[in-house]
Amino acid sequence: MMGSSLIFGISIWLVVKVFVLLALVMYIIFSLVVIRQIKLMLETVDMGLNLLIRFIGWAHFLFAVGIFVIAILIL
Amino acid sequence: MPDIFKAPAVPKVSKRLSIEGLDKFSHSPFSSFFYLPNSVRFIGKDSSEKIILFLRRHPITNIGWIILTIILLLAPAVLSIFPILSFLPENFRFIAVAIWYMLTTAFAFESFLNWFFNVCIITDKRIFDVDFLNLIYREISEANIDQIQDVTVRMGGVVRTVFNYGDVLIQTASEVPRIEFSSVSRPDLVAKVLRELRV
Repeated sequence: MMGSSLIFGISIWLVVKVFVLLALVMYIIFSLVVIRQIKLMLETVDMGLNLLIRFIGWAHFLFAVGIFVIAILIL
Repeated sequence: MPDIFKAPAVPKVSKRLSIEGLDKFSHSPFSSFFYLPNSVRFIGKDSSEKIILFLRRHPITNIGWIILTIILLLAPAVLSIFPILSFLPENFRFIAVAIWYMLTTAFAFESFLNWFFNVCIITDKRIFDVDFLNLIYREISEANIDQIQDVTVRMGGVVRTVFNYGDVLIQTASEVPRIEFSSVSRPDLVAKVLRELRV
């Protein structure tokens, strides 16, 4: 099934893979912006939960990177 | 060389209001109505300034995004009954579901941050309204307590009446003519605190 659909001799799934990877790169950039946003928010108001919120931000970023790596490996 | 003039030390203000029932509210960092929070710091705070009230939107205002998040989390399991993604190869199906959960996580986390960091602060000198309008845009409105001209409490609707939350509109003589504390818990008590601080 993977190689059955061709457009100009290129597998359609290869094109889809490229778009998925591009979307994931954009998502990684978004998760970095979220980390920057958290830094800005914690600078503005500090409620003693800095570590927890920073941890969630970085976990979210690592989750996005993990999905990107898995997408490269299995697609 | 001896000092010619030594300014007298400014006594620390220990502002405790004589309003009944203020102490009984939760002192958790997730609280939406926090009286005399000691652990809270904010940008531009003077060392002698004391936070009287720390407010954020009532927790019930989060119900919309929490229900939506639960629906989004359950959707892949429910939709697996219907063969919507059956045209995709197995590996693409796995990545599609992973991306779905990732977007759901981002939505829930952003919604939480939006609630947690959009706060209103009343100190013994000033009032602050901190708004994060989007990912990297921050708006802080502030006015001195003695610049407050009028305080209006706006409550309406069944949900707001049942859960006792509403808006506090503060007219000021500062550069920001109006500061709005939106959907805060016990708005009448907030207005009472502001009234007491002004006199």
